[in-house]
Amino acid sequence: MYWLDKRLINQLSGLNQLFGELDRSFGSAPRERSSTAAFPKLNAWKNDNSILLTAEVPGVDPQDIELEVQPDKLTISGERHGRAKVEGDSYQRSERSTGKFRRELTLPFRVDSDKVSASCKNGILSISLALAAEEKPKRISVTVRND
Amino acid sequence: MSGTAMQKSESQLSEQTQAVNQHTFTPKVDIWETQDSYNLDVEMPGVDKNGLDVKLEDGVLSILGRVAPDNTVACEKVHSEYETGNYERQFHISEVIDEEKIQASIKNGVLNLELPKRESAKPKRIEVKVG
Repeated sequence: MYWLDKRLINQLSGLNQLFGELDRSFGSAPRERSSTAAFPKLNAWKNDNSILLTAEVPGVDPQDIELEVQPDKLTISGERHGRAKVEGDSYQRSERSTGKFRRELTLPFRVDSDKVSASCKNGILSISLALAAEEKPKRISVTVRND
Repeated sequence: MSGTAMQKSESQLSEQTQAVNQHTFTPKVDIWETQDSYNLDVEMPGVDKNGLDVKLEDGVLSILGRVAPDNTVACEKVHSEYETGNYERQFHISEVIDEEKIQASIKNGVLNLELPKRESAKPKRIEVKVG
């Protein structure tokens, strides 16, 4: 529900990113599948305890990705290096883009910035963010004593 | 016991998702020619070497990449900017390729193909010996 509301608000305020984007990538890629030129593109999943973000970063060396986490903000930045062009080679297609990128996301919930993990595999970056205690559904744990 | 039941239903769900997931995308490519070969870099995020199918038949190079299933099925998707699916693209190659020597590798979601030209197709160089 919350997400739907948030999306509506973003549309009304002219933003097309659910996460409330502050900055855009400055890669030179006009040929994206969808209308926005933001890089990297993100999907997000949620369960009771955490948020999982995935991003498509084909051709980016995982070592060239930098993440910065604040309780309500996540910044993904880095650089995608191109292949060094050799003189005499002739390019017939050049659709891929290279360069620096940066996305600054305002998260619609607070996260525990000490509990963040990230991995990169097959050109997909996965970021796991633990929700801050106040965002989690309240649970009362019952300890069973055997004595 | 409930744990086992949960795992079972999750795996069934992920199979269903794969079957429904029928998007096919045209991957972005760079193609360049050197004196000795044609080279391609093909962007296929989410594809590993097991999901690749590359064929060269009758001068048509077919590239198919199947995205490995992810493990996010159990969670609720709350934001979506990209869709996942397979990648498919074909190219006609007029030049004669030495099929035995085609090299393919995939790294960080980018497939690199090197298609060496046949000896007969390479520009001929005649060395002039100084006698």
